[in-house]
Amino acid sequence: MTVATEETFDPITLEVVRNKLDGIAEEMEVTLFKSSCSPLVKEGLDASASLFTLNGTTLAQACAVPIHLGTLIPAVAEILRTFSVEDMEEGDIYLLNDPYHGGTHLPDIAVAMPVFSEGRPIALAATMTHHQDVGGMSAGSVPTNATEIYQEGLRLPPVRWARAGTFDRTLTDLLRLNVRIPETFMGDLNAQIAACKVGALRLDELARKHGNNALLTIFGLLIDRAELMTREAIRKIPEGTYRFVDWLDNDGIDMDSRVRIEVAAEIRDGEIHFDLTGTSAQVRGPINCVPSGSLAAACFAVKAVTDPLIPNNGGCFRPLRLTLPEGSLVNPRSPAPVNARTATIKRITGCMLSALAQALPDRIPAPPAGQLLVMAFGGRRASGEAFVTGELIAGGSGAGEGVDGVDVVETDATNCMNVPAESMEMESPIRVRQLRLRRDSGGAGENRGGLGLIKEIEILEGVEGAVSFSHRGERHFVPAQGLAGGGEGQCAYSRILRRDGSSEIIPSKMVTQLYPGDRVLVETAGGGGWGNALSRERKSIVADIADGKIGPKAAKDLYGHEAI
Amino acid sequence: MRVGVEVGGTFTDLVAIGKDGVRVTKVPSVPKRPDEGAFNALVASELDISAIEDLAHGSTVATNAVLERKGFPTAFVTTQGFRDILALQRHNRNSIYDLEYQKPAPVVARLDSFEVDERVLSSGEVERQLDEEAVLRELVPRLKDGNYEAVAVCLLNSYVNPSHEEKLRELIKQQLPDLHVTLSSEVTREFREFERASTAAISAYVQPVIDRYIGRFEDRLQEHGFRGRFSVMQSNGGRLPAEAMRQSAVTALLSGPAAGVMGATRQAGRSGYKNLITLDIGGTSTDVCVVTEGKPELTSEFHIDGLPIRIPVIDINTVGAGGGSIVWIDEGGMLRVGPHSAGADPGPACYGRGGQQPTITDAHLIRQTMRPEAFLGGRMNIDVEAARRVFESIAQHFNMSLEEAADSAIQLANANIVRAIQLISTERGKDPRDYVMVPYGGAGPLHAAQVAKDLGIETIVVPPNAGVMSAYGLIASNFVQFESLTRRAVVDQNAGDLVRETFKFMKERALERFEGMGLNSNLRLDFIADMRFVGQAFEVPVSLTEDQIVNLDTAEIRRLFGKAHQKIYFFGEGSEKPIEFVSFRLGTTAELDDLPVLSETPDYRVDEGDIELFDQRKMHKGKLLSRSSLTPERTLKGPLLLEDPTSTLFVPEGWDARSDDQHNLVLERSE
Repeated sequence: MTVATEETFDPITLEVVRNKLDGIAEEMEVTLFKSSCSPLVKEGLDASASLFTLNGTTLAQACAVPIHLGTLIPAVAEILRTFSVEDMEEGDIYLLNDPYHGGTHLPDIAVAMPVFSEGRPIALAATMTHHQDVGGMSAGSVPTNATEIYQEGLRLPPVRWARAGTFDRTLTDLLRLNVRIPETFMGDLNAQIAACKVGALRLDELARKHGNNALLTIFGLLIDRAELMTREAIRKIPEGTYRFVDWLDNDGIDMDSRVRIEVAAEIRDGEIHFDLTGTSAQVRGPINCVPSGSLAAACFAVKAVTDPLIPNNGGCFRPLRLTLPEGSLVNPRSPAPVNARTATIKRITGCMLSALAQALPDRIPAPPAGQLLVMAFGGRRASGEAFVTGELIAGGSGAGEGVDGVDVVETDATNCMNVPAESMEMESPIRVRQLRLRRDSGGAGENRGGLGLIKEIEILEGVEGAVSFSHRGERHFVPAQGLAGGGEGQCAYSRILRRDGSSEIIPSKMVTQLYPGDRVLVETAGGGGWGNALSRERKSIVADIADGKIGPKAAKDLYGHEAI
Repeated sequence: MRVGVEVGGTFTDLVAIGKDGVRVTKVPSVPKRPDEGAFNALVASELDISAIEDLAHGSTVATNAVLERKGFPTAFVTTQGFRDILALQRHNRNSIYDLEYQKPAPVVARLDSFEVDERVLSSGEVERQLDEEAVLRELVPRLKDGNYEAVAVCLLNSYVNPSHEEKLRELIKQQLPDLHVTLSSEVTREFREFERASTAAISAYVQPVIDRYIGRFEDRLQEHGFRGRFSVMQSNGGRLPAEAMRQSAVTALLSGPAAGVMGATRQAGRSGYKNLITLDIGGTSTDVCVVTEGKPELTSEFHIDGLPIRIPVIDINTVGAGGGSIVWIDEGGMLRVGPHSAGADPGPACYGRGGQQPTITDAHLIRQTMRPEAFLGGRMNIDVEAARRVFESIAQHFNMSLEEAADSAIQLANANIVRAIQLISTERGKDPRDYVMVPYGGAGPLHAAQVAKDLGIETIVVPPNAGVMSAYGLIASNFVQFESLTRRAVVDQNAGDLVRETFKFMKERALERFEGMGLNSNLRLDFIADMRFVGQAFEVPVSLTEDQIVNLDTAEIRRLFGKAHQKIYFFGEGSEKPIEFVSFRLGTTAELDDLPVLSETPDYRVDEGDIELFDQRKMHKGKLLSRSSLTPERTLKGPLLLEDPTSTLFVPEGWDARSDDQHNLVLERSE
């Protein structure tokens, strides 16, 4: 690669344009968040915005949630393969969500729009939003018991929804008919279009200022520079091959089979190669993960261990290589279901980081709970009005050299906010009965792992019939490991307490029905500990006891602490 | 005489305006004891304290108490089952790539958090009565034994029905009359329990701090014969009488930037400018704000040290670009500026206090757009050679002259500032070209022209003594208080009545409160309904006048909402989708009878004459002048450097400068 064209464009112009491109992506993202309807975007920030060159290389990306890093790349590539740039017109809008055509999972819909300046296409603006419902066998379109993608909702290959500003009525009608809450669905799609329009408007302004040709040359230089920076940063990691293995609980179908994820991270000559050979074959349940997921995981891992200030464009991905065996969990064949792949991406990210922890022991903490418990509730109020609401809950993070883990915090590839109890109660006939730190759940160690959470939810009177409920857990059977002699975090544990006094244990994943008076009690997992627990400072142990983070029994059994 | 004293991180500024004109004083702050710095300023100004009629104060004391967690012992009380709201927060992290991210520490520890048995539902219905006996038996003794100074109460769904919070306060006050009790429903009536709890907890936490600070300050003022009115600045851009502030401490957080915006708004307003983008560039950061029709934009999305506070504050966007921002070369060989800063200590290399990295201030010295004699009115020793030395490696890397390297760094800093302004203007549907720019702060007037040009802004209005705008803003601010009420309701045929009833109730309460403060003349009321499409994430503020409210009907509400939504999000006008109210806000303002006039300091003179300076990649010949030597009759062409005791104004080539009859300098594009 070369940066020899520096004379043509001074570094200041380059940096100013880069700044503008990042700004445009951010402005698109703000528009997306603010005008979306569904709580997942509202509170979960589960959406992202990007600009692409006409050959599909990322120019800039705004994403609040790392799981979206790079995920629009295969989607835009597929759109470009199906509809050539020459055939695109100003005002065209393209849609896609099929994982086997460049998507991620069906609720994530990509919306792309060509950007024109002075009658000529110069780039693409694209957004991805996690929609609240895209049809399929269960409300919320994340059925943990799906065995085929056909059960997961409406599949969209690359399609042209609007031609030169005119929408295809047939497609609109088809979309509306296939989702449970068409108003919300169309509202969120409109937000995506509004975001793309903002991107197109601003990019056109930029092109007018610098000239089309000059701008296209600058794009190329910026991408080359990000590549160079990423290579330099990778060179700072000691060369070698580092391995790590972790497991997912089950695929939601074969409840007793743990699912293996194996990562070999090879650092060599300014490049990083993640080889996932050794990972389980694709599974029957929906935790299969198409390649875009591993790409997002790798992007996050590289950014976190190098320099997050490296400009976020396609150049960063060039020194990255992935080996994803075909037919495996991480490169499944159609029609394997994929809706619950978030857990898989989180675990892949965790494995990549834990592998790299061997090269960078002072930088990377012990494994976190790395779970994002997703619950979905759907039904009708007595008034007949439908409701669908979701809930996202984190566990504890791992302890590192010199620091305890953090209680109840998002880690690795996701960064969702929880849904406030008051928000949930406002939107659905549900009451939150308690919300507290889970004592003793953090892995013991010289530095203690972060604690998980206890949350109890009750279905209120005033619903018609049953409330459909899905629970997508992780770490119910396989704990977060400790590091440097630290202990494991506690596993997650969830139950349904029925009104009649009976109770059911949720084996990590479940789809069932709830009725008024039924309660769901979830306890999320703790993060791994760091170092020998017997070396933990006495005053930290005393403080933890006083604060109720560890009980007297754990203090004695795990930390050898006797109360005086 | 009116006096404003603003305590900043590095300097404490004082502006006194009386019959014999304007007096400006700048002294170093005393970070550990902000009131010490404030008194030093009063002493240094040689003012007769007994002659001060109006003393307005802005201080970092509340902000520092939160940043350093040095408030007094505070307890937190919530609904059974929710003790950990403050610790759990929202589960997300503010810095996603930081593998050892730590959450911001709550101001109240888990040990000091207690639960009461009660439950209100989202409908407002009481599901479980407050167990009053248990409060007296268990909670009160714990509050007593904990030696708490303040307690924050946040019960679930209290935004819709605050009766349990009110009852709880009554019970606590009966037993522990000296304990200060803050109710979440009184601080903010908005839903989302963590944000409301956080607001209440921080509010309770700073209460004793502000209470004592104001008490101590007042005592000391009285010892010196002060008999005037003493008021304190708030982050919403208004002030409150000190007595009232002792009950409303949370609004004192981060009031400094708000004071600056108000000063700029008032002073530019004197010349008839109502639509402004304010630009305050200091040592470590830049604050920008959009002012429309003489009113700064307000927001309720506000954080301190990562902790949310849901009160209306002036919507100021801050970026880490200031005089101290560090200039560096990244691994891809590109020049970058910030976000790291040399801060106040060691500060830029030219301060000669050990700073080894090039900064924006050093770049100005090299370009000669700032003279070493201009720092603190010549009272600071500046090492120009040090500035040149630290820029050498950058110049070599790009094979440039020192001047070109310094100039490039400033262009990049300007690009960062332009981004910050776009975030609050273009990204919210406002076109910067419809605004004039008002720069202030030590370095605002140095960067304004280039930033304005990039945004397409044609006119810049530079207030006199722009370096102490916050201190002027204190005495130029009205008295203001806000309240909000969450009342979620779909817009149906009764919507007009709902709005009328809600605002009638809020208005009565507000008028009563202002009457109590002795502020009952020149009152202005601002009515805002926060609305959205049913199910949408964020609310759009819809401003209403009292006249509009009288005749308001459903169609008119829909029309006003559609218009407001369209402006921000490019869609929504004419939509027939269901819409809803989420909350109602009322701002009450007691306007000042007359505005103090800020003017130049005529006795400040520089050696006027020809100078050379480097800008936009070339050397220019220009003139150095005292700011006070400009008159309305005389239009001068850039390049110019105009100095007053508080800042330097750089007028580049292509801009004309003149003074107007309100002591503002007006810059206009001439090409």
